Amino acid sequence: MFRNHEIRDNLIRNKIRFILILVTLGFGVLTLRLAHLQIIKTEYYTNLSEGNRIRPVRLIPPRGVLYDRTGKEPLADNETAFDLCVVPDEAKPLENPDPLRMKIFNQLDLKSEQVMEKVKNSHGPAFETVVIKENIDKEVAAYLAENGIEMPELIIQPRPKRRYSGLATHVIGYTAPVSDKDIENGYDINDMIGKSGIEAEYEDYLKGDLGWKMAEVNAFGHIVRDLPLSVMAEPGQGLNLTIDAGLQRKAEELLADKTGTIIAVDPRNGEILVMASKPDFNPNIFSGNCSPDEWRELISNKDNPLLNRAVMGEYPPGSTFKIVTATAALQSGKVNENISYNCKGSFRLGKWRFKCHKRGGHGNVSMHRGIVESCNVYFYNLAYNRGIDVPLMHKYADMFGLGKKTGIDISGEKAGYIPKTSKYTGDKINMCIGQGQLLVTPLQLANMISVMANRGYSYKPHVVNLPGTKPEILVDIRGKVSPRNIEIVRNALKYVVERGYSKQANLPDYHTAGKTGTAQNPHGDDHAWFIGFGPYDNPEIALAVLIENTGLGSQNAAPVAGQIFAEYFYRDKEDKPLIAKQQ
Amino acid sequence: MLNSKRIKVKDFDGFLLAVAIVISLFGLLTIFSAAHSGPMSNNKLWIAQAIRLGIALVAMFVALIIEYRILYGFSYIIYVIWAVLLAILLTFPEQSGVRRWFMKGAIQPSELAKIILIITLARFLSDKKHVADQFRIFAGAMVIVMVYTILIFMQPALGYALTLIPIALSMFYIGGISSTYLLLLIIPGFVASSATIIICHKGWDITATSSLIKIALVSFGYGVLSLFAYYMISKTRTRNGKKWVKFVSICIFAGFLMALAGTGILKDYQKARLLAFVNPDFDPKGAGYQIIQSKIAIGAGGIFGQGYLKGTQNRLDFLPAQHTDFVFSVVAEEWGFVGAVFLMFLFLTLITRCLKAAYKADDDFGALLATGITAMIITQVFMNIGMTVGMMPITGVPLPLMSYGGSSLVATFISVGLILNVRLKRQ
Ligand SMILES: [Zn+2]
Repeated sequence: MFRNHEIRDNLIRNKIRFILILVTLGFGVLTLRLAHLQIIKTEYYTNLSEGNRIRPVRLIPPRGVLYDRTGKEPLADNETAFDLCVVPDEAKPLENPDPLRMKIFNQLDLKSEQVMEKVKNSHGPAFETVVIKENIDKEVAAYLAENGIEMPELIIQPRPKRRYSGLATHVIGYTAPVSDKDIENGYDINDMIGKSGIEAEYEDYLKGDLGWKMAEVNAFGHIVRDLPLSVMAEPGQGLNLTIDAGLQRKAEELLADKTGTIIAVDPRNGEILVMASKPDFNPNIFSGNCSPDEWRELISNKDNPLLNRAVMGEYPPGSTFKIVTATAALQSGKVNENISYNCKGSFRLGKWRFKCHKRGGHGNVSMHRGIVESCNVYFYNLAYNRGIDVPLMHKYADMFGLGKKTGIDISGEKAGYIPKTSKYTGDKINMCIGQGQLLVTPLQLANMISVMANRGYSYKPHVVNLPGTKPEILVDIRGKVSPRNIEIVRNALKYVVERGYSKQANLPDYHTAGKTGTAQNPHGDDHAWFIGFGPYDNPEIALAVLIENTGLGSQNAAPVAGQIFAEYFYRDKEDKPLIAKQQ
Repeated sequence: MLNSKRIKVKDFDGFLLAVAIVISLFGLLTIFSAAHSGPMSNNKLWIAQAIRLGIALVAMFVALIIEYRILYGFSYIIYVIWAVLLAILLTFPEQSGVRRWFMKGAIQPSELAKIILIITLARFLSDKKHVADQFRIFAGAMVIVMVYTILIFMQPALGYALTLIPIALSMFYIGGISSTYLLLLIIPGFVASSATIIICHKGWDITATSSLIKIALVSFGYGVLSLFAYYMISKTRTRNGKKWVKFVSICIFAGFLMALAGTGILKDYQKARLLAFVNPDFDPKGAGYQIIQSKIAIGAGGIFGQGYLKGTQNRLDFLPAQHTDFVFSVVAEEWGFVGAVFLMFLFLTLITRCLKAAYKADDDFGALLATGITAMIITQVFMNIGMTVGMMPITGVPLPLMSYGGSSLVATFISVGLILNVRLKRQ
């Protein structure tokens, strides 16, 4: 028994000795590991340890400035904004009320509990700053920067902030904080990105290249010293837009209390001179301090201020479409310009009556008078009796670039819609005067009138001329429509302004031409159209004006166009005619 | 003979107690340094820890004076009660994903669970010492271990669950379970942990067929290796060829299954820690951050350290959890290689004195109890220091006697008390 006991004990004791050997070996391995870290590689880790106090700091490049076509007037530039920040690590003093800090918080409309909450909810490393109030008053920022020693817990961080002139808001677009998707694409959580208009379309040019500097931080994460190692930020490339700031301003004034849009384009190259859309919005509110109320108001506003009506609005073209119908009629050979119809004020089709806008009727109407006086009955007759049907009108509308995107360098462009076929006779009756299912954008009509201005072609509309690029031809009907037919329609457009209903778009020294239109609006009052160009012989400017819910184009849109023409032709001249002096 | 037992004062291992107290005082000093400056400074932490040290010493005294054979009698009952308690704990709502903390973090039942498991296993193994059927002993012991391991793993406290395995292994070893069964544990464990790391590292989707093929290939590789290892070790190879083929196949198959289950069961942060362990650059600001910062702190300490209260990493709070899990890094940064090796020497002394109690124990229960407790301390020390020097994955296992926190300190002093107790009860 004792013997067994002895053997067992010895067996266990051997095993315990074995465990002790294993443990000692284990400590030996750990000692070797420590020797490796602390003796052999200590220099490497010491450097890393020092590196921990040196942090890379992002240098945000100023965003490219957007100028008007003269290169003198900035439409979007940058200013310095100041953010009030704290380092979560150092937020502790905030718990104690300090009269001076209270005063500053009151001035900034901040509450201590609110600030503590923000600090608590921040997820970054404890030594990285948390913004507690963006874009604070510059005087407060200056005061804090000077008296920082008394309140080291409050840090002022400058950053470049986009500043918008408020002109051509929809063209310029806006910048806003990045979305989660942008972050996936390599943006930093603090970056701003172009969200619409030129800001979005030319983001790659405007954003510039991020720079880095190395800065030494003290125990509390404050930057104490910048180190020489740095990569300068590359400022974003500035762009000159084709927008004519003076003309744009005039257009926005004319639209100030209206809903609608004005587009002016140089038909010689497709440059957009004016693109105004009202109502508009204040692009500055997207930069980060947009309150939820402002936002809600903006997106729930029934007039939809965010909509760029010039490229995103879709409307029936109304009588402006008669340019297409007339061209189709002449070029298809189905109608001779001298054929005339008698207008008695309406047109009968079965039990329906289609009205002309002149109650008593226009009497005997030929092609020329049909366009100049915009006689509906004349066009009804073409459609009904001369076989100017929906497929034919679609073909010519398509030729003029209607119902498809122009490809302008502004995001969100809509295509519109031109019906191709129809079931009912009434459809072509409606379509020939630009009503029914037809939908076009104001930009498409501006392009169509440019085609007439240029006698058969147009350039792709654009707002930025990148160096090394030439204007592209967008529409060219010269091989498909004879010069004579173009001239018949074009000539009629001159008389529309000279003798027809759009005399208010005429100027004493310059011949202009154009066409009015009234787009039927099932939801309210009709929309007024005017499209035109001038001077008649060698056009320099083509216009499309749309005023929503105001009724006849001749009374509401044509005078606005006249003002734009006048501003364009007379702004540098001493003795302006009466029309140019009107406000 | 039993009646003649009496306490001999000279058998009280005062040296062991002194070493334990010295280490805890060193811990207090380090906690003071870790929390004394920097953005998260809290000069009260060391006071809180000092109070806990007082409580721990009282707990140790209780563990020291009770007749340790009483524990033998109550062990099964306590085991069952505590298992129920752990199970109830699982039904509690999660606190930030972890249910470990009982009653707002006041008590950590897993700490005491380890000691209860050791006592129970010590009784079971000493009772069954002379049972001929080795498999019955092994199976019974495995049930005792696995119930607690699974309950703790589900909390989820991966680190604590892992510490149970070396404890069980060492007790099986001392308890006389045949080496075949130990290999049955070691080989699949090795296969499983390696395969898990590889699967996590490669980001294989274990539900995809092609991934399963890769995993199978990896397991096969390990299988061949283990087979070779077993062939070298096994004495039975000449006697019964078929037996070891079967045995190794089972080992590998078990490891393969465990790896599959492991990658499915592990939470994302646990996988991230495994990955960060394999390659700290994988996520330098996330899971890898702790390992990198800890290595920087240790490496920057150099031979003689940066001086007490002067460690840069520590002071600037770049070192995460520097007063709890990474307290060793603070020591290494501020006291350097010399200080770190001195601390490890203190631990080695402590462990040696503990093993001596097992060595000198006059019954199997005492020997097994002391071995299990020592294995627990050894495991924690190696897992924690191994983690801080980047040799082991981050498991959140505290450094005994050093790390800030009450449960671990009390549990460790109870362990020391039990060891002293085993040593004391000699004739
Ligand atoms: Zn008429």
